[in-house]
Amino acid sequence: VKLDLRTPVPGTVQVRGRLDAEEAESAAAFFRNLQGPLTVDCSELDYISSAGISVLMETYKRLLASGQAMKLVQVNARVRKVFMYAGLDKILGIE
Amino acid sequence: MERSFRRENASLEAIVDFVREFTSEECLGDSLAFDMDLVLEELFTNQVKYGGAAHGDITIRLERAGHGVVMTILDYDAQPFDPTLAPQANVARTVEEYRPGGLGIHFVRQLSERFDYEYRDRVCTITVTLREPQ
Repeated sequence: VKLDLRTPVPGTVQVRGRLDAEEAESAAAFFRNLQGPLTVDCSELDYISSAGISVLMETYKRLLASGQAMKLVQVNARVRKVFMYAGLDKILGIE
Repeated sequence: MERSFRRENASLEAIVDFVREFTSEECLGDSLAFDMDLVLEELFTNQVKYGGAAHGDITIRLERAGHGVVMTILDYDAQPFDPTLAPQANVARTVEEYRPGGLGIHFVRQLSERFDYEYRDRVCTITVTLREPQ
Protein backbone atom coordinates (compact mmCIF):
# COMPACT_ATOMS: atom_id res chain seq x y z
CA VAL A 1 0.00 0.00 0.00
CA LYS A 2 1.40 3.39 -0.95
CA LEU A 3 -0.90 5.57 1.18
CA ASP A 4 -4.53 5.28 2.13
CA LEU A 5 -6.31 8.00 4.15
CA ARG A 6 -9.80 7.50 5.55
CA THR A 7 -12.13 9.18 8.01
CA PRO A 8 -14.15 6.23 9.40
CA VAL A 9 -15.89 8.56 11.86
CA PRO A 10 -15.78 12.35 12.10
CA GLY A 11 -12.73 13.48 14.02
CA THR A 12 -10.64 10.39 13.28
CA VAL A 13 -8.24 9.79 10.39
CA GLN A 14 -6.82 6.37 9.63
CA VAL A 15 -3.44 6.56 7.92
CA ARG A 16 -2.34 3.39 6.17
CA GLY A 17 0.90 2.81 4.26
CA ARG A 18 3.76 5.20 3.57
CA LEU A 19 3.63 8.96 4.09
CA ASP A 20 6.58 10.06 1.97
CA ALA A 21 7.55 12.89 -0.38
CA GLU A 22 5.69 11.27 -3.26
CA GLU A 23 2.42 11.20 -1.29
CA ALA A 24 2.85 14.40 0.73
CA GLU A 25 1.02 16.74 -1.64
CA SER A 26 -2.16 14.68 -1.88
CA ALA A 27 -2.03 13.96 1.86
CA ALA A 28 -1.72 17.68 2.61
CA ALA A 29 -4.79 18.39 0.45
CA PHE A 30 -6.71 15.69 2.37
CA PHE A 31 -5.74 17.03 5.80
CA ARG A 32 -6.55 20.66 4.86
CA ASN A 33 -10.22 19.71 4.63
CA LEU A 34 -10.33 18.38 8.19
CA GLN A 35 -11.35 20.19 11.33
CA GLY A 36 -10.50 19.36 14.92
CA PRO A 37 -10.39 17.97 17.40
CA LEU A 38 -8.61 15.32 15.38
CA THR A 39 -7.26 11.88 16.26
CA VAL A 40 -4.81 10.41 13.76
CA ASP A 41 -4.80 6.62 13.97
CA CYS A 42 -1.29 5.53 12.91
CA SER A 43 -1.70 1.81 13.65
CA GLU A 44 -1.14 1.01 9.95
CA LEU A 45 1.30 3.81 9.17
CA ASP A 46 4.40 1.87 8.10
CA TYR A 47 6.74 4.72 7.24
CA ILE A 48 7.12 8.49 7.47
CA SER A 49 9.79 10.90 6.24
CA SER A 50 10.40 14.62 6.76
CA ALA A 51 7.87 15.34 3.98
CA GLY A 52 5.20 13.39 5.85
CA ILE A 53 6.04 15.09 9.11
CA SER A 54 5.58 18.48 7.42
CA VAL A 55 2.04 17.47 6.43
CA LEU A 56 1.13 16.50 9.99
CA MET A 57 2.78 19.57 11.52
CA GLU A 58 1.01 21.89 9.07
CA THR A 59 -2.29 20.34 10.19
CA TYR A 60 -1.34 20.46 13.86
CA LYS A 61 -0.45 24.16 13.68
CA ARG A 62 -3.56 25.06 11.68
CA LEU A 63 -5.84 23.36 14.20
CA LEU A 64 -3.92 24.76 17.15
CA ALA A 65 -4.36 28.29 15.77
CA SER A 66 -8.14 27.82 15.97
CA GLY A 67 -7.96 26.28 19.44
CA GLN A 68 -8.47 22.70 18.30
CA ALA A 69 -6.40 19.68 19.30
CA MET A 70 -4.77 16.96 17.23
CA LYS A 71 -3.20 13.79 18.58
CA LEU A 72 -1.47 10.77 17.08
CA VAL A 73 -2.33 7.33 18.46
CA GLN A 74 -0.97 3.79 17.98
CA VAL A 75 2.30 4.90 16.41
CA ASN A 76 4.64 1.97 15.79
CA ALA A 77 8.19 1.97 17.15
CA ARG A 78 9.95 2.78 13.86
CA VAL A 79 7.69 5.70 13.01
CA ARG A 80 7.89 6.92 16.60
CA LYS A 81 11.69 6.94 16.28
CA VAL A 82 11.42 9.37 13.35
CA PHE A 83 9.23 11.73 15.41
CA MET A 84 11.66 11.41 18.28
CA TYR A 85 14.63 12.34 16.06
CA ALA A 86 12.59 15.35 14.89
CA GLY A 87 11.97 16.39 18.50
CA LEU A 88 8.22 16.26 17.85
CA ASP A 89 7.09 13.16 19.73
CA LYS A 90 6.11 15.10 22.84
CA ILE A 91 4.76 18.14 20.97
CA LEU A 92 2.39 15.99 18.93
CA GLY A 93 1.16 14.14 22.00
CA ILE A 94 2.00 10.74 20.55
CA GLU A 95 0.35 7.99 22.58
CA MET B 1 23.89 -3.70 -6.50
CA GLU B 2 23.39 -0.55 -8.55
CA ARG B 3 20.38 1.01 -10.27
CA SER B 4 19.42 4.34 -11.82
CA PHE B 5 16.22 6.23 -11.17
CA ARG B 6 14.44 9.08 -12.89
CA ARG B 7 15.01 12.45 -11.24
CA GLU B 8 11.54 12.80 -9.70
CA ASN B 9 9.82 12.07 -6.40
CA ALA B 10 7.70 9.46 -8.17
CA SER B 11 10.85 7.27 -8.22
CA LEU B 12 10.57 6.66 -4.47
CA GLU B 13 8.40 3.57 -4.84
CA ALA B 14 10.96 1.98 -7.17
CA ILE B 15 13.75 2.91 -4.74
CA VAL B 16 11.90 1.14 -1.90
CA ASP B 17 11.56 -1.96 -4.12
CA PHE B 18 15.28 -1.77 -4.88
CA VAL B 19 16.14 -1.58 -1.17
CA ARG B 20 13.90 -4.59 -0.39
CA GLU B 21 15.55 -6.57 -3.19
CA PHE B 22 18.95 -5.79 -1.70
CA THR B 23 18.09 -6.44 1.97
CA SER B 24 16.38 -9.71 1.03
CA GLU B 25 19.41 -10.88 -0.93
CA GLU B 26 21.76 -9.86 1.89
CA CYS B 27 19.50 -11.20 4.70
CA LEU B 28 19.35 -7.77 6.36
CA GLY B 29 16.52 -6.87 8.75
CA ASP B 30 13.44 -4.69 8.39
CA SER B 31 14.77 -2.07 10.78
CA LEU B 32 17.81 -1.45 8.60
CA ALA B 33 15.56 -1.40 5.51
CA PHE B 34 13.43 1.30 7.18
CA ASP B 35 16.51 3.41 7.93
CA MET B 36 17.80 2.92 4.38
CA ASP B 37 14.45 4.08 2.98
CA LEU B 38 14.52 7.19 5.14
CA VAL B 39 18.11 8.18 4.34
CA LEU B 40 17.72 7.49 0.61
CA GLU B 41 14.44 9.40 0.38
CA GLU B 42 15.86 12.46 2.12
CA LEU B 43 19.02 12.52 -0.01
CA PHE B 44 17.34 11.60 -3.30
CA THR B 45 14.59 14.23 -2.94
CA ASN B 46 17.27 16.80 -2.05
CA GLN B 47 19.02 16.05 -5.34
CA VAL B 48 15.72 16.39 -7.18
CA LYS B 49 15.11 19.73 -5.47
CA TYR B 50 18.61 21.21 -5.56
CA GLY B 51 20.21 19.45 -8.53
CA GLY B 52 20.00 22.60 -10.62
CA ALA B 53 19.47 22.12 -14.32
CA ALA B 54 20.51 18.47 -14.28
CA HIS B 55 18.10 16.19 -16.13
CA GLY B 56 19.75 12.79 -16.06
CA ASP B 57 18.90 9.84 -13.89
CA ILE B 58 20.33 9.51 -10.38
CA THR B 59 22.20 6.31 -9.58
CA ILE B 60 22.05 4.49 -6.25
CA ARG B 61 24.62 1.87 -5.30
CA LEU B 62 24.12 -0.44 -2.32
CA GLU B 63 26.94 -2.51 -0.84
CA ARG B 64 27.05 -4.80 2.17
CA ALA B 65 29.63 -3.79 4.79
CA GLY B 66 29.78 -6.14 7.76
CA HIS B 67 26.60 -5.68 9.79
CA GLY B 68 25.60 -2.65 7.80
CA VAL B 69 25.47 -1.12 4.38
CA VAL B 70 27.24 1.55 2.35
CA MET B 71 24.87 3.56 0.17
CA THR B 72 26.24 5.77 -2.61
CA ILE B 73 24.20 8.30 -4.55
CA LEU B 74 25.78 9.36 -7.84
CA ASP B 75 24.39 12.41 -9.59
CA TYR B 76 26.00 13.12 -12.97
CA ASP B 77 26.19 16.56 -14.51
CA ALA B 78 24.80 18.10 -11.31
CA GLN B 79 25.39 21.48 -9.71
CA PRO B 80 27.48 21.37 -6.52
CA PHE B 81 25.27 20.89 -3.48
CA ASP B 82 26.88 19.57 -0.33
CA PRO B 83 24.24 18.25 2.10
CA THR B 84 26.87 17.55 4.75
CA LEU B 85 27.23 21.33 5.17
CA ALA B 86 23.53 21.92 5.84
CA PRO B 87 22.92 23.83 9.09
CA GLN B 88 22.11 21.80 12.17
CA ALA B 89 18.37 21.47 12.68
CA ASN B 90 16.91 22.97 15.83
CA VAL B 91 14.88 20.08 17.23
CA ALA B 92 14.50 21.65 20.67
CA ARG B 93 12.07 24.25 19.30
CA THR B 94 8.53 24.96 20.35
CA VAL B 95 5.49 24.44 18.12
CA GLU B 96 5.46 28.16 17.34
CA GLU B 97 9.11 28.00 16.25
CA TYR B 98 8.60 24.96 14.03
CA ARG B 99 9.18 25.60 10.32
CA PRO B 100 9.17 22.99 7.55
CA GLY B 101 12.58 22.02 6.16
CA GLY B 102 15.93 20.97 7.53
CA LEU B 103 14.74 17.75 9.12
CA GLY B 104 15.78 15.44 6.28
CA ILE B 105 19.53 15.97 6.63
CA HIS B 106 19.10 15.84 10.42
CA PHE B 107 17.69 12.32 10.03
CA VAL B 108 20.63 11.32 7.83
CA ARG B 109 23.05 12.60 10.47
CA GLN B 110 21.20 10.80 13.24
CA LEU B 111 21.15 7.48 11.46
CA SER B 112 24.50 7.38 9.69
CA GLU B 113 27.86 6.20 10.89
CA ARG B 114 29.51 8.11 8.03
CA PHE B 115 28.10 10.81 5.76
CA ASP B 116 30.44 12.08 3.03
CA TYR B 117 30.18 14.27 -0.06
CA GLU B 118 32.47 14.67 -3.03
CA TYR B 119 32.09 16.79 -6.16
CA ARG B 120 34.44 16.17 -9.05
CA ASP B 121 34.12 16.62 -12.82
CA ARG B 122 30.45 17.58 -12.38
CA VAL B 123 29.71 14.32 -10.60
CA CYS B 124 28.18 14.60 -7.14
CA THR B 125 28.87 11.56 -4.94
CA ILE B 126 27.17 11.18 -1.57
CA THR B 127 28.18 8.20 0.55
CA VAL B 128 26.39 7.11 3.71
CA THR B 129 27.25 4.17 5.96
CA LEU B 130 24.50 2.69 8.12
CA ARG B 131 24.75 -0.01 10.77
CA GLU B 132 22.01 -2.50 11.47
CA PRO B 133 20.05 -1.21 14.51
CA GLN B 134 20.61 -3.25 17.69
